Amino acid sequence: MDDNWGYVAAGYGLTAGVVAAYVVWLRVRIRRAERSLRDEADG
Amino acid sequence: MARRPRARYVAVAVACLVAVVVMIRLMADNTVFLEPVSEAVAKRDEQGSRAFRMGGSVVPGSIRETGDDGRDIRFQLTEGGVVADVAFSGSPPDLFTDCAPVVVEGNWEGTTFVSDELLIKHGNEYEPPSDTAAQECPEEPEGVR
Amino acid sequence: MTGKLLGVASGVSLAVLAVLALVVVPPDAVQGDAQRLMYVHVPTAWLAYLAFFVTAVASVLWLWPRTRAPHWDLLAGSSAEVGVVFTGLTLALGSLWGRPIWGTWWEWDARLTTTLVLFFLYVGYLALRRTGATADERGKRCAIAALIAFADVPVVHFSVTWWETLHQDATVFNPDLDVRMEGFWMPFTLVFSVLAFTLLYATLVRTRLRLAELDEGREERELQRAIEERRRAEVVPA
Repeated sequence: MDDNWGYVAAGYGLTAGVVAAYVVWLRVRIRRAERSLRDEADG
Repeated sequence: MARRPRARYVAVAVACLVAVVVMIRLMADNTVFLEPVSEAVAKRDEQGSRAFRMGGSVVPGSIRETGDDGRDIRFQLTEGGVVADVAFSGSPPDLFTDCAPVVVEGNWEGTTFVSDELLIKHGNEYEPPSDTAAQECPEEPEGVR
Repeated sequence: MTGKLLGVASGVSLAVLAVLALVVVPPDAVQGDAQRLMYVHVPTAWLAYLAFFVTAVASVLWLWPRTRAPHWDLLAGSSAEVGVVFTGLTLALGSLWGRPIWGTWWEWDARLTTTLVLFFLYVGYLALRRTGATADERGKRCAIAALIAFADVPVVHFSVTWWETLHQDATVFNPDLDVRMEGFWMPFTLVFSVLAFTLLYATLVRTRLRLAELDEGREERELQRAIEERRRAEVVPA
């Protein structure tokens, strides 16, 4: 029964990882969109 | 704008739709019928050696290991007042103990149900551990019928 | 400002949830510590339902002429993307919970299969959103697809009641609405987890919507420039 902590750790780790990765991916895309809008405004 | 990426997205959308159809068919084909012990025993003759799933709770004290490697297990399942002998080969999950709600997949060989797949069908009730360990099975596990 | 506040609130509540679920709550009498996975699996599934519900409502608002605004189309797409991420996470977490308890990573069980179908329906919807056509045509096509896909959500939820499944019935939103948990901390943590993930959803969809608005601004500019170029090209030979 004790080794079930491995599954729990994997589940909570995965949740944290997915949320963090999604937040980072959103930020990257927003920054890229902002940059291209700014570049167009300049050019 | 290039046409290419659009075609790719259309392909992805179509592929997803195809996947959905395949999955629904897989579910329909692979859903082995689940019979509670009482019905499985009543229909034993007409089932023959056809594979199906049988659900019930483990009779307390009935679990016996017959092999040295712990992979051959004999036990009894009960539901609706009917008891069936089961011969299982494989490694059962941790929760396989007395009174556990169990689903076994296999077929009848005489009056013994022979199986190599054993799953625990856990209910939707949760509680903290209590000091008083129940000796009798509390009640018929829900969901096995 | 609201955005920052939302982000902080969801971060703090997720941290509190982790402490509640991993330290404070007692293990289940039968399942032991594996049952702790419930406090991420259930709210993750809830978030996916909520996201697809918002997509469906936004799609209706876009289709209905009196409320039609480009904003609804963007919200529908943003919410669906968040929903897909969390449907995938629900499937993975369910697999991690199923292995120690049921004894299997995956079964072609009605609840599991309908959830996988849900995942692919909305991945297909996201792909459809990126296909060409004018904004109006695409919006209409996607809104209708979103409503068709949403039909699977109640099927997923009630699959455990309608069919014989390995997956258990709902602990809270079962047909009798009878909370099947004992003590204080277990139901409290489950409810808290749903609230925390609702905050997380609000944060994520708000951010994704901002990205959608930026992307649309860029698309509009590109279109404008293409039109201008064509006009110039037409003028020259004449």
